[in-house]
Amino acid sequence: MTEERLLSFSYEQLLEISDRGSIQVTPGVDKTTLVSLLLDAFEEDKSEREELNNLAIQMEARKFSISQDEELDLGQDDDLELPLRYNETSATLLLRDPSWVFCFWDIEDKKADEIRNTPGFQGIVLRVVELNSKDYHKDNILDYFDIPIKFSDYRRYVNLPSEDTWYCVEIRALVEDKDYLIVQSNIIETTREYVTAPHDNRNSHSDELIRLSGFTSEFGETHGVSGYQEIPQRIIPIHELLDEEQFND
Amino acid sequence: MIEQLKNKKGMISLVLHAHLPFVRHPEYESFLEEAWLFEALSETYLPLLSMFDRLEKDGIPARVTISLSPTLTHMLQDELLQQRYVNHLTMLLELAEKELDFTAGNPDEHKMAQMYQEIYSRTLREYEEVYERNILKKFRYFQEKGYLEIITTCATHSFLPHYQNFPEMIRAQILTGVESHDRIFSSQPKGVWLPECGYFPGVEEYLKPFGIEYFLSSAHGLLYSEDRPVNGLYAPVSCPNGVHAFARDRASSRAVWSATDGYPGDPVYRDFYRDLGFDRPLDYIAPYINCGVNRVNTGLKYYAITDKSDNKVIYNPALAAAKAEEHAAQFVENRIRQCETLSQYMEQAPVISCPYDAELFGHWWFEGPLFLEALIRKVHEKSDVIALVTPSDYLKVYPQNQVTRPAFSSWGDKGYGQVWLDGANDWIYRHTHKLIERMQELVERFPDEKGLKERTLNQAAREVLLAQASDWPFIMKAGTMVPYARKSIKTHIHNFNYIYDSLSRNTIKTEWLTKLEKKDNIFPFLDYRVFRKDY
Repeated sequence: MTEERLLSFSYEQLLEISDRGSIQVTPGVDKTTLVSLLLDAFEEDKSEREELNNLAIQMEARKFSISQDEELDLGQDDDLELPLRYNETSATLLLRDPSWVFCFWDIEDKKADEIRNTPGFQGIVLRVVELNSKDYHKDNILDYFDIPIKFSDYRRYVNLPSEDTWYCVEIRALVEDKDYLIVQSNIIETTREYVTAPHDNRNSHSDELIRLSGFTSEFGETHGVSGYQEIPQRIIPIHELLDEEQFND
Repeated sequence: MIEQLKNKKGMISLVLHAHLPFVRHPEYESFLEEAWLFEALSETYLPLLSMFDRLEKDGIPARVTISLSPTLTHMLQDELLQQRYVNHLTMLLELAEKELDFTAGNPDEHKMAQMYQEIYSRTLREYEEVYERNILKKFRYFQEKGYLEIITTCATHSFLPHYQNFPEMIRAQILTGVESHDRIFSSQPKGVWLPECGYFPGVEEYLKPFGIEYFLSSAHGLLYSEDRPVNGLYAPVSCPNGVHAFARDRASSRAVWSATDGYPGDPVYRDFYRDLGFDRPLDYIAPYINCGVNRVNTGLKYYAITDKSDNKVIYNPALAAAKAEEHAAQFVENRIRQCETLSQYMEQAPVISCPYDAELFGHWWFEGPLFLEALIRKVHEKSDVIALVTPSDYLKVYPQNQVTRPAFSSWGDKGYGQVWLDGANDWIYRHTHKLIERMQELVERFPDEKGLKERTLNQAAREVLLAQASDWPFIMKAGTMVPYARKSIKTHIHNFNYIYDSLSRNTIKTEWLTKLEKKDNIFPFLDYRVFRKDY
């Protein structure tokens, strides 16, 4: 974003920009100060985005970079507004990373009314079910936990307790002291974040080769790789052979 | 060849991934985001072809893998975009000539203006006369000459792990990518670039039926395989069905990618951000920027990186070219040393896989093509110890590799699906998943249509595929050109839903459909039945 571009907007437009960007503005501030505030905020936002992205993503983003004024959009695309939901009963689970899933769901209005009007109805929950296989069967359930939700909720990120296993989610209605299935999602397999133990002696140097697969200074490049410090749950010990900061490029 | 390669200390596999999303707007006289293609053409694709021309002329062999995405190849063949690129070059040439006058009193800047005037004149002439506007013919030529192994990727560069619930969609993405490749290059691709290196266990089952031998994986995706990869990242692993995964080497990636401590950040290289579009007075630059008021990068950049301050020194092409050679030599030396170390522990010659976004070379790192050329020449000089190979070359030498299955991963930030599934973009999946379900429903309802209805269904299938592009959620997350990304995906969803409703009401408007077919004209061969369960 350039100062020139911001100065080309009216004072009201600048206030709208600050409002859209949730930038706190002192009432009655003059235009020059407002522009300066916005420039600082845009710069800070840009730096944060760059820092949050790894090299592959930074590089990919540059091929779409054709203007320094690109962050700003005062246009409306309301004519293309999409439905918030499709009024059907469904639940979907997407694996985002080893620790988090994203689920989105919907309960058909008619069905929601029926549930609400059931005598003894107490609420609905999102049940996160851990399974020991990709097939759902009550004997395959290892564990589960419930997250209270409202009918107005449609999506949620959930932190998973276990890796390298199977999960699904269910929307369940609590009626008196029982619960009933409303809808169940697809089953996903979570992933592992560790190097498995050697099975045999096919290559007795595998420890060394795995160490060499991480970054060390011995090949000339001594670049450290930005670490996972800001996301502690992602610190990955790999058989004590590799430092976790070597695994985020 | 096989014995010769076995005797090397190691091999380097350079893989360039060339991709841009489908952006084509005939409804406007010009369109800002079409410049993504024009910049990549001028700064990456044409310089790469020139590089291979020089190597061929000098008798220097090379083996480089390049994946050309179906959306990119379609745009490169599109007559409207070809004409617009010629217009774009003509405009830049006019600006460069105007600059010759403007900089008459400043010898340093004047030299730069001369450089761009020469570059754009040559590019325009070659694009028209040598390539006859279709550069794919030249890529095919270099494949036939053995310089390139061209591979494909998914039809619209979909991030497959987020669609793994829909086998028909994944098959449609891969089948359409392979078919697009076959129609252009008259050959089946040996490898596939999984968009964003997005792998999930089982994706290989969709690749095998198309004769795909390999794909590229992130480093941790391979390291976290079901069984420990005994050779680390330096030999491929074979999935149980025989499709191989080659993993990205991280040392070589960082050396080339990092703006701060990698080669491209060297002070003598051309500065990407300092552009004439922002340096010249508005009334002067107005004819060359967006709508005459919104400043954009023109591609004319006069300054070297210098340092982090705004006081940049003028760019010196000779100095930068020498530095690119120096960096290439250093890169090759480091890879040789790396191979020497690795080969002590391996029973087969190691392969160092170096996949990069092709657009890095030239577009962002102006000297990138010079670096690549110097690298290829240096490897040729050192051909007694090291060789450039494609993944399929390596598989000819070592067809049997450890059998295991990699783990879910991508090359995105934090290594999984976060970039494409985040607070900034997660809203899209409710709709893109719904589109697939509705497309499958349409195929069931209309299993074998002809005429107008078939055209409508084929267009519906195009809109479904276009809505899956990983670029749109990527841009929303990365924060660059977000409004356009949001609007693009909404438009494809809207187009599909309009078709869906029209088919349900049996009220297809021929004029509307024809207009949409002309606009979103990608994959003219697409058969909507590709979404059928038993296709």
